[in-house]
Amino acid sequence: MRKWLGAAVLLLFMTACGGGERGGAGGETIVVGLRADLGGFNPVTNSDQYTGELINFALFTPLVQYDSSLAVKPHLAESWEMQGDSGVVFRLRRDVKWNDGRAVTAEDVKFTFDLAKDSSSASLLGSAFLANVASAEAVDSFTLHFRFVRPHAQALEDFWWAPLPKHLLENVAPSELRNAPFNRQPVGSGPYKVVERRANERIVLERNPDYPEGLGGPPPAQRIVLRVIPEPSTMLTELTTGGVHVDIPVTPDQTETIEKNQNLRLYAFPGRSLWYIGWNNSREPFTDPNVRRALALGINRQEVIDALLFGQGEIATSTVPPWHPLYPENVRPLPFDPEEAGRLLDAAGWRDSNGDGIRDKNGRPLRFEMLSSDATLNRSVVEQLQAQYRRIGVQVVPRTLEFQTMLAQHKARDFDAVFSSWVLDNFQMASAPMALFHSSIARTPLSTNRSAVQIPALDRLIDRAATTTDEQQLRGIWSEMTQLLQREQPITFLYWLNELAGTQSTMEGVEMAPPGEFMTIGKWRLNR
Amino acid sequence: MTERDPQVTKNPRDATNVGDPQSGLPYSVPVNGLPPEPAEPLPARASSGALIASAIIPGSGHVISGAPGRGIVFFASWLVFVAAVLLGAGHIRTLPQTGSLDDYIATCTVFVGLLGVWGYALYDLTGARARRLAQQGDSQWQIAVRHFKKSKLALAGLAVLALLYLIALIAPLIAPYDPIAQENVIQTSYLPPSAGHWLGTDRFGRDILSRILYGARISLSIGFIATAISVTLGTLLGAIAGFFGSKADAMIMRFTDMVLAFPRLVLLIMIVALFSPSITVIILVLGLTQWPNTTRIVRGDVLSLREREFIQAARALGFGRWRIILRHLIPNVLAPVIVTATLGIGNTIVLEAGLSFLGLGVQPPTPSWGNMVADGRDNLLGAWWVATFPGLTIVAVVLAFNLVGDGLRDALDPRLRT
Amino acid sequence: MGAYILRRLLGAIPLLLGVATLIFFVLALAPGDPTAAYFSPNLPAEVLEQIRRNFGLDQPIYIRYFKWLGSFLTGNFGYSFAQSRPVADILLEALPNTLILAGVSLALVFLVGVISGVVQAVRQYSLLDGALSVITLFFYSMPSFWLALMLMLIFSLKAHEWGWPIALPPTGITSVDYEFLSLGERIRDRVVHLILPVTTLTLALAAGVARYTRGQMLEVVRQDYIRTARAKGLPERQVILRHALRNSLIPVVTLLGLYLPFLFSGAVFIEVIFAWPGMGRIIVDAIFMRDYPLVMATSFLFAVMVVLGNLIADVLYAVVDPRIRYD
Repeated sequence: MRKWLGAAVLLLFMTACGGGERGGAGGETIVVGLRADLGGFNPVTNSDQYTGELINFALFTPLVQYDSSLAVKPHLAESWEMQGDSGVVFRLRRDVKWNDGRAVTAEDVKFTFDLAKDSSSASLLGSAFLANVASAEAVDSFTLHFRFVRPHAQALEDFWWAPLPKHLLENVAPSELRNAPFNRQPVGSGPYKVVERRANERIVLERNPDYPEGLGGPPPAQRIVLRVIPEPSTMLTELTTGGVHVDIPVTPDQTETIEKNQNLRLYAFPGRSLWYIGWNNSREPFTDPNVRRALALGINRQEVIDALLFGQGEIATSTVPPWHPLYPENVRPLPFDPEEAGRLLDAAGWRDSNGDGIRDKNGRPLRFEMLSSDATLNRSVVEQLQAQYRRIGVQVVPRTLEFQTMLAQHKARDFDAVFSSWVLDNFQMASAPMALFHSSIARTPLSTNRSAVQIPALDRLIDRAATTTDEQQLRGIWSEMTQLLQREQPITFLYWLNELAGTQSTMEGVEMAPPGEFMTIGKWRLNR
Repeated sequence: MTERDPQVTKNPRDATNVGDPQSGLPYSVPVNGLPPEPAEPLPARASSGALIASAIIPGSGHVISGAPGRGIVFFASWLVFVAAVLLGAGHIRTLPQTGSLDDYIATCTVFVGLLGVWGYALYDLTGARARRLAQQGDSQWQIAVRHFKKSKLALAGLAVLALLYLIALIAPLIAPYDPIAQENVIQTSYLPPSAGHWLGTDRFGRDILSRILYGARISLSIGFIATAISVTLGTLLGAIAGFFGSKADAMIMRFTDMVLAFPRLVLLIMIVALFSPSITVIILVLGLTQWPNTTRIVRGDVLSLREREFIQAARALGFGRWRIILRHLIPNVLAPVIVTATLGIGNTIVLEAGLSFLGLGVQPPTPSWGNMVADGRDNLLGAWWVATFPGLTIVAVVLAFNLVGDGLRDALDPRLRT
Repeated sequence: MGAYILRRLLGAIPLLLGVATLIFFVLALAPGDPTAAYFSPNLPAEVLEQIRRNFGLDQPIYIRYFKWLGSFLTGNFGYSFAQSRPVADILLEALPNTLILAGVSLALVFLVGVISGVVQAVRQYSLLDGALSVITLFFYSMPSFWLALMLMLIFSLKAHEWGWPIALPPTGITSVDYEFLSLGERIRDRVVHLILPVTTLTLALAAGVARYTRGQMLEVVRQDYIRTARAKGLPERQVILRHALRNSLIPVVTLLGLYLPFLFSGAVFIEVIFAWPGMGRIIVDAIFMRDYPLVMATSFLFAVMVVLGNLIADVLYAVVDPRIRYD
């Protein structure tokens, strides 16, 4: 008897707490499944990919915007005027408002810029993307003047970021910006606003009826609910049974299942993450560029892409992705040539003298450890590479580490070889090689040049690529750099991984391209 | 359960009756006065016909002589070995050229087993064994064995375990494919179960059945060694705590409490992060976090045994304390320890699977059942067989250990016998 | 009794402090960095250093320890590195979810376990005993995450494919449009979402309780007073339910205390697979991201649960069994 009473009380208790706060018309709700929770919605302090996409496409209005053509388009900035090579003047739209009704002005933009450049806020935006922009000045309420540190290429791409409301954050110390409660449910200016957020569970976005028509107007969908579902199989189950409408991301293994299902649609587009093998250039035998070249010739990258990525990738030649306008079409990637690899290794003195199938030199076998994180895909790639290397007489010892540990070792340059990835945060092409290969930071502890790359010719090319503004010349420089990278192989570029997502076939208005999965979130709608 | 001193509680259930309360001697006659149940009767002399039949097919002789139960058991075991030889025939033939130590051990095991079954069946048939047993009388352990045999489930579990152990030894002979090699990944990846691959293939085109067979070795080794460590440690600590009492007892129990209060997940992840996950690390970690259970049980038993006359007699005779602990106390508390150990092995296998789920278990390409399930979960919807079959294997094996453990508990604990 | 409880609690304080200190130093010495939560390859080293300074990680370990200890003892659990908000908020959000899952599961575990154990004991060595043994042990032997995956596969995916009337939602506490449902529908919604996770947990744990109950019942049934009750001519049902069951439930009830900490953190796999936002996931994520304040707070909570659980078990034992005395 008591048991039933207890059960009834329990049920009432469960329904009473949680949920049920917001009334509201039913309206159209789109449900998105995410693998992990998002971070704080703050353009200055954010460094997470999907959070950044939501900031730029859903919650805030960046100065410039991208669409699938990858050309810089006006957004918050209605128009701009380059001041030669030394600066730019932006004129802002006047009809963009914050969620609390105030107008978005040049003061907000300047405020955000200053915050980002303040070193105590530890901002990725300020340190990486605005490295070449020296100062901002609000000429009037809707006009801004930015001055550059030096002339540099692709200057407009520096401005793909959104302002924060000065009137709400001006009293927050920069070092506390990351912890500000504002970030959980920000007051933004984009097509959607955050109305509810439960950590590790869901984030509810509601349409912003004041979004200006000039930028596309209020979105067709009433609500978007982002749900956190950590397990890939569970995500796909929800997508298949109709529990969610969009799955971001899906794993390469799941692409076949999605394609076979008539009710689902697969989105696969070239991504911004480059996967590579980092050689420790300061350790034997990787000090010899011929050995590095041989090791690059000896692997069949297409096989890895076809077998493990189910075709969802493209061979990489440098840090410029194949879909980018600056990609040098004329440079071929290194072919899969095990014989040539063998010849190069022989010439470098690595021969199999004791018949055990592993090359050796002066008594030392050609054997090294390859680190990777414990993600299944990464481990699998290293396993496959191990099998491929075995065939040319190189013994790879895979070492799987927890991500943190691997990162620590990678940064400390305490490794032989490592299989890792590099993500382009924006479309400024020069930043990647500057971070990865410039010899000025080759010895600096914990710098981003983790492979200890020191190639003077490469340095010169990188410096020129960063500062040249003429497009023709820029193309030439990138072509030369790519050829040099193919020759020297300081790291071996493997492939660019496609970004993968799945939706129900009933979704409309979804377009996914290199700027991001959420690129057209302002236009998503359900077609019942 | 925790710090209750059994001498303070009036709960009679806490004392373990392993001996006669009057004399303090361990039992050597049945508790409730029932006669020992005889084993299935054998003729005093088997006919020569039966002997010859048994020489050809073990077990047939038993059936002819009227003991079909034993006959079937012998026959089944014999069949298993014959099947192993047949399956591995190709492998055995190429042994001289390609043989590794592994293969030699496997082949030896199979042939020794085959001959052993034959020989033992004949020996059994001649009644020599029954005569020898009749002379000895019953020890505590033989009574326990008899009770154990009453439970069909426990026997089934034991059979599964024996089979498992055998498979672990002869895996190289019977596995149809190499568990680690990757050939033709693109063509052979994620094939559903078929004639060529009975249980399908995984993402690299590796045969699931072969990986499960080889995985038996890993899972069993981890299970046995880790449990051995934890049980040994636990027994020693429990015996010391119970015997020496006061300060030693308090210190050890505090330490035990602390280990128990420490969130195991944190500890596991920390350790595996500090020392990257290898089989040795996993065995050590699992072994060094499981001992508190055993310690508690042993301590309770030792506390009640300590005051028995036979221990006091040993003391009076001047035996050293360690000799008393090792030769008098511990053998008498072995019963629950054995049960805990058996159940612990099953538990350890499941724990290893859990570690693999978090990415901290045995590292590929070495197959362990746990990391096979973890691998299979990414494409569960497209290739369900990769995660399902290793999981079923874990369930079957752990179930076997649990059944055997239960059977042992029922057999060794006199309070539970009817 | 009161003095006993007080002594136990006081004795637990150094234990908890010891555990907390140990965890702190183990964490600090483990490789890895909470700043990796903000990791972007483009982030220059100086910026990461600045983040570390903002977290207070640049100070020597002893100072950090005492600072942490000081704020901890005054009730301030600090800010989570990864989520950038107060740890207390995070815990308060996740705790109800865990309590619901744990509470319902615990209730069901004991219900199913006790019933199964009683039936097994009363019909020892019969077919039913054997069958129940095998069934409960079967589920007990499964890795919980495997069971979760299989259940989801069958009852969510395949049920949907084959059009069964009862296709269960695999994730979430409530549906997306929960706010727009009526009260009756809401109750149904919550219950339906609970079915898969609770079933997985219950099946995995019930066997332990069942076996223990069976053992206790078997012992009790052989006692003299039961024989007396039967000799007096009481119906068997009364003998079992009123006399044997009550006495054998005593130690089983104390299991409640012991299962407490396990349910707190042991449901990790189930929370991950069924996307249930509870404490287990928080702990694991925090450890992997080296989110020190969060790991410290949750580990400390876990240790508190263990101590409390043991204390409850012992106190309950003494309360229901008048033969036990503590002083």
